[in-house]
Amino acid sequence: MGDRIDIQSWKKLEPKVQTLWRVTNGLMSLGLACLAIIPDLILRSEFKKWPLFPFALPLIAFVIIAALTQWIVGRSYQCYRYELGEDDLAVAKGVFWKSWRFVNRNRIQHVDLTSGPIARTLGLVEVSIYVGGMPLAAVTIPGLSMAEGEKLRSTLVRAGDAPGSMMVAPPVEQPTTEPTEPPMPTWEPPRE
Amino acid sequence: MAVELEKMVRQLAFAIAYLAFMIITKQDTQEVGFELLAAGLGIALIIPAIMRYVSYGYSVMDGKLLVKSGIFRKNLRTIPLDRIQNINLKRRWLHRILGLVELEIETAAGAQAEASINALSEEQAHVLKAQLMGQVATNYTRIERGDEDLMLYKPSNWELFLVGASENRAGAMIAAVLGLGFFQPMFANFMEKESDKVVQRAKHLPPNVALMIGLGVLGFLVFGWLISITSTFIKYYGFKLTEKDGKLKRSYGLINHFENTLPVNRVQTVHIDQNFIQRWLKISKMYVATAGGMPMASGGENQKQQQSAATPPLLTPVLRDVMRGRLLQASLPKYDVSNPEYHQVDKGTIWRHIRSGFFGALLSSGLLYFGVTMFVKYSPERAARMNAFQLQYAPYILFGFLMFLAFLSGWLYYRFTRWSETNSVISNRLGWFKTRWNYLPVGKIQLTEVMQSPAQRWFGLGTVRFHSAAPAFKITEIDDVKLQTAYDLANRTHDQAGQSHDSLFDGF
Repeated sequence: MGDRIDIQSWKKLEPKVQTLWRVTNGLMSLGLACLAIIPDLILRSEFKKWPLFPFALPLIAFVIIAALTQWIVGRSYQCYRYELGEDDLAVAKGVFWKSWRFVNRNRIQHVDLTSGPIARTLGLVEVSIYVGGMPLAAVTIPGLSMAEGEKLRSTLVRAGDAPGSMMVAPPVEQPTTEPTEPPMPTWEPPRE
Repeated sequence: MAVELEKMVRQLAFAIAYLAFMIITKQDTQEVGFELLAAGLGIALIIPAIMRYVSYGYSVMDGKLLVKSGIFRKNLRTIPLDRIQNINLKRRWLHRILGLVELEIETAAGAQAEASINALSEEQAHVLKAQLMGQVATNYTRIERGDEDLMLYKPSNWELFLVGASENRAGAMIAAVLGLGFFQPMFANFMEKESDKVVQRAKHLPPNVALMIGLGVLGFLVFGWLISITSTFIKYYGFKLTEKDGKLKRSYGLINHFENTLPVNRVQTVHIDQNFIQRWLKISKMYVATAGGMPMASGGENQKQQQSAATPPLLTPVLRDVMRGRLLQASLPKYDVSNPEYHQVDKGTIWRHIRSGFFGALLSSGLLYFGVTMFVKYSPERAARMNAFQLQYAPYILFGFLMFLAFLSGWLYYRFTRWSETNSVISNRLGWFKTRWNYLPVGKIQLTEVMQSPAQRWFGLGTVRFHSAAPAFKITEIDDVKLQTAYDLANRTHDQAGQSHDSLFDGF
């Protein structure tokens, strides 16, 4: 394989997730810009000849942050991919800090579908997959349509019927999967 | 009941000590308040202890253990006997004086002990333990003593001394306590008066302040070192690691005595720590991280305390190098970790570290440059008194220094890091001042992740991360290998994860 990990063939998220991200980022930029009101007021009262008009700083902050995040949304969408394989689920994400996560389907403990208010109006759902030992989701896929999300969840959960899966209690008899135990090594008695 | 009282005292120990201290160094205007506070504290201690004693009860019936507790909010906990995984025995100092035992019962489910029965007499405890393990017993003398456990490791007292001596954690603890103390005005006044007296006396001595301070610091460090030795000794005196029926059992403690068992199947990762002093002494420390819970090395006083994210339990506080192979084999019996084939990380990591450090260095020296300019502009008199050469070149010196640090860290990382995947065990080795070996069987991997930061992308590198089910030390990371290597490694391992025979126990 080449120097880069090839994810072009993987599935993309639902395009509507970009709208979701744009709206959320817009709100966040607004919130951050409001934070900039404080230094603006302070600086205006400190310096008599403050050249800019009132509330300039928050406005500038808003414009810059919003522009950056909007550009990021487009790139993020291209970079967020997932692929459901025979025995694993792979998720790639990230524009600058890239991350590829692989979860073996046998390790999945449970699957969550969540959607916030904006996502609900757009008909999007976020799939969170939990494995053993971690309080937070091992893998999340943020923007699938309801149908896709449900399909993914049922596929992952139904994987419980495959042999060696965690979802169902293992059958009472373990015919050939249990290897014979190697003989225990004989240890010399410990020196006291 | 005395035990409950002691537990409450321990939990409120800080408040009590603070109160006592305030009383001792009190100032006249605050007399009445303290009396009331002391009385209130006394009541707060005794009443809950009485209530807890009165309301607690246990019984074994019908293949189940029933534990009831609580007066206002009653709680009845039912634990089927066949779900019990471990029974741990704890004896704190008060228990030992009174001849009591605290029994902790763990099932496969939670991270903390499901039931903790405080203050049983020795006989009661052994009878209960036998009952819980399925034997019928009403009389201590009729309990069958099973086969003797296989003794795995028993550190000598000298080894305990060495491991305590080669670390100096206590200094930090003392500093923390003193630091907290200084925030109290009374304590600060007290210390001020005392230190004034010391200074008065010191004025009669030859005026070599630096020497005094140096001696003071040295004394402090020596004191911390001695505390480190004694605390290690007291905590782990008589440490024994034995094995029986697939369970590792540790028993240790001088004042507070603990016995814990650990099913070997629950071991997720194994870690060995060795600082450079310990390497010279040929000893190390070994930790195992398990799925679910295990009482922490210190005994885990609080039922609700899970494995902290910082330290997994010690399998043994000190380990002779020659015994390392045997203990590794005992904690990971299904895997052969005797001869891992180690690879180095990619040499490009040195450049990657330099590049990562570059922006930080630029930012810091830029800030310094800005600061110096402001300094010169706004207080030229002070600036004139300082060394002009230093001021002018300080930012550049800082930049050079930080870049050198980046190069050094990259070189050290390249020089001392190894990783391996032989025999289905991911293992790596990090560091020189404090070396750490990690072992993670592939069958225990929960999640694999390959990551790449922008700096790594420049050099075609990546990082692999393996997540295990243990709350502590859940991540084993191999940083700065070629991206393709990382990807292939992730692919190879996560195929095996979840399918090896080892992973079927308990779902972990």
